[in-house]
Amino acid sequence: MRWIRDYIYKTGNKSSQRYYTEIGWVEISENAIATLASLSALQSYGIVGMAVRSIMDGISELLHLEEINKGVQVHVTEEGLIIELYVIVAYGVRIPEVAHNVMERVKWNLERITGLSIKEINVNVWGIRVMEDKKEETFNWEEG
Amino acid sequence: MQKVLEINGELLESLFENAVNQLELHREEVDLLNVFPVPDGDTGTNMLYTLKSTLNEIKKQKVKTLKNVAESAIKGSLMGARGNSGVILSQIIRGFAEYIRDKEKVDAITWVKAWQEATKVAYRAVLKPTEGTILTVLREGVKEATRSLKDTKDIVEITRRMLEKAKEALLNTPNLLPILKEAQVVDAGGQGLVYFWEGFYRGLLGERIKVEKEETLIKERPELEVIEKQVLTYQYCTEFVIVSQENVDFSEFKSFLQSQGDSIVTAEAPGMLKVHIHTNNPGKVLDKALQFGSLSRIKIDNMAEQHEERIRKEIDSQATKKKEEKEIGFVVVSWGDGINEIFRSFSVDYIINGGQTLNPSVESLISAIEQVNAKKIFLFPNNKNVILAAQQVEKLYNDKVIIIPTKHVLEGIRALIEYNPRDSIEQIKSKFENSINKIRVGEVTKAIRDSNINGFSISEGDILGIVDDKIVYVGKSIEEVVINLINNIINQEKKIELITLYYGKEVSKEEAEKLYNKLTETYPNLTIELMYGGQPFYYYYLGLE
Repeated sequence: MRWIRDYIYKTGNKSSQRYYTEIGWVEISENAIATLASLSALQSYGIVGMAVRSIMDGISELLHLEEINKGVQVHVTEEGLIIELYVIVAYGVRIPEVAHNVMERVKWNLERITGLSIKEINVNVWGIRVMEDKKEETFNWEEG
Repeated sequence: MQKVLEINGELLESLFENAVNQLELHREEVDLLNVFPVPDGDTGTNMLYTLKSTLNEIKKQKVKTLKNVAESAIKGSLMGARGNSGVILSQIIRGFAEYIRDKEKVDAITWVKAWQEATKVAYRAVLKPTEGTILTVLREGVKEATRSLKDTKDIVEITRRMLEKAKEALLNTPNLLPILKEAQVVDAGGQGLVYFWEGFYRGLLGERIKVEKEETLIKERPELEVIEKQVLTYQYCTEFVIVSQENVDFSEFKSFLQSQGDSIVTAEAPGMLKVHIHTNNPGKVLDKALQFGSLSRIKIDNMAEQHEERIRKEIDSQATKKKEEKEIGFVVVSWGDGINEIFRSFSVDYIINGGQTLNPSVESLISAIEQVNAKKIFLFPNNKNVILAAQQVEKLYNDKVIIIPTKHVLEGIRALIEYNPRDSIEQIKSKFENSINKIRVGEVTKAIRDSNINGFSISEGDILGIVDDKIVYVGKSIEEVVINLINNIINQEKKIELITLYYGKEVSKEEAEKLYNKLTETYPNLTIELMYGGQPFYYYYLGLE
């Protein structure tokens, strides 16, 4: 999406979600950004869900697919977007590494797709899930 | 051709060694393939790092039983997991090793089952697996291994077919993942797995793969957290590269570094040495380095400055936060230190002290509203008797204050769970109001005098179960009352799934946990949560939804 940058008239606040181009403006809502961020996060290895923010451990809940952007907060600042992700990770993975991977992936995807600059991606690990083997049947080992 | 029918711990170790070396030989090639998920060209390096850590841990074992080797592999791969593909590889190794850990011997069937387990574990950690990645290559290879069990019990042959199928699946990855096709490459992680298995296969054939150059340049990723917590014994972070002749020996310089500071990381290539050190005297280090060759990419940071700067930034951002007017604020009436704490965790701006006998006045509600700097303020009375006062306040602050008529703190908590800062004010309001009906609240307390209410004859000291301000059960023990109270609500509401139990000030944690354990036994189909509420007079509040 480099082309988008080429057409930008700098508007003083370069990290604004609204771009002025020669023939009109482009605005990307925080909601859209949140959805993109959570989709990227959910595709990351080790992440098994998004969680509702601001909840004490006991009642944190795993979000359903249609409300995943609840697990994301987007702040617009002078220097770029700050994204807060609230995630549930799988049991048995190395959390610092998974978190790092998520940051890189989300940053890369958001910058590429939206053309906006990202200042920070913060990963809040809100829970750990030991997944049941629901997927087992799908392997179909064809044992003889 | 040589057959292998059984694998022991020693052979397994040598297979891992082979896999490390095979991957090391092809590290750069794998790095170059890396375009997905983030094209940073480090897949090969990360997988190698993960495998090396696995092997190092295995090597620490003196007695190479299957169990020892497997357990070290699990530990080593987990600790060394780096990058996306490294994390996946660590899960593959974990699944594989966990399966064989308690086996007497690994024969063909165990071998295949272990790889099946590896596949399951690897898939378990991802919600939406992307096809055309290392996971696809793994799954296809293991499927083929499973099929081959019909024809042979020779592990070499099984592994050969697994590897061949994996290579085939690897070649197909560009057809599954468009971004690979665009870049005209196969998946880097999948390629890494193929080299990993190739190392295994050649090891089973009795080959020993050798790597000539011992040290590979693996850039250490600085662990930020660790740096932050360190006391700054050494103030200057110094980095540079010495460029010298092919055959120069840096070992003297490396030992010199040890005397100059800490956090030393060096990486060596023929005629080159990359140095990272925290020291109090960068000049001295650079001086010495000059004796070995010319210096390039010199970078010296004063870490004390970085530290101060970070702190200053944090303070600044806090200060600006306070001045800003928020879009939405929350004021709640609450009691009980545990419950207050829960409200605080929802970023409630102001908590008014209330309770069964202490109803806040209109005035105290107003002064709470005045202290919150927000465009819209949601007010949760959390008590039937406060709703009226709150409505007075709503009239005074026409557009600003919105009342959510919660009759209990548990309803207030339930409502706040629905909060989504991106919803419009109307949406938030309707979500809050709807949520009140999603929860039923029960209370357990003690009778303070003899009376006759609701058909119950109550004596002082009896335990009362209350729903919607009506006594529904009278008993002698708390446990008895709690269970009957729950049954009473379940009978009215068919779809109860979750019970949250808040224990009060007069109940000890041990007692509460005892009751909690009893409840989880009694209601195995329900999810039950125990939390500290700290409310006075009431032993327990129960939220059922």
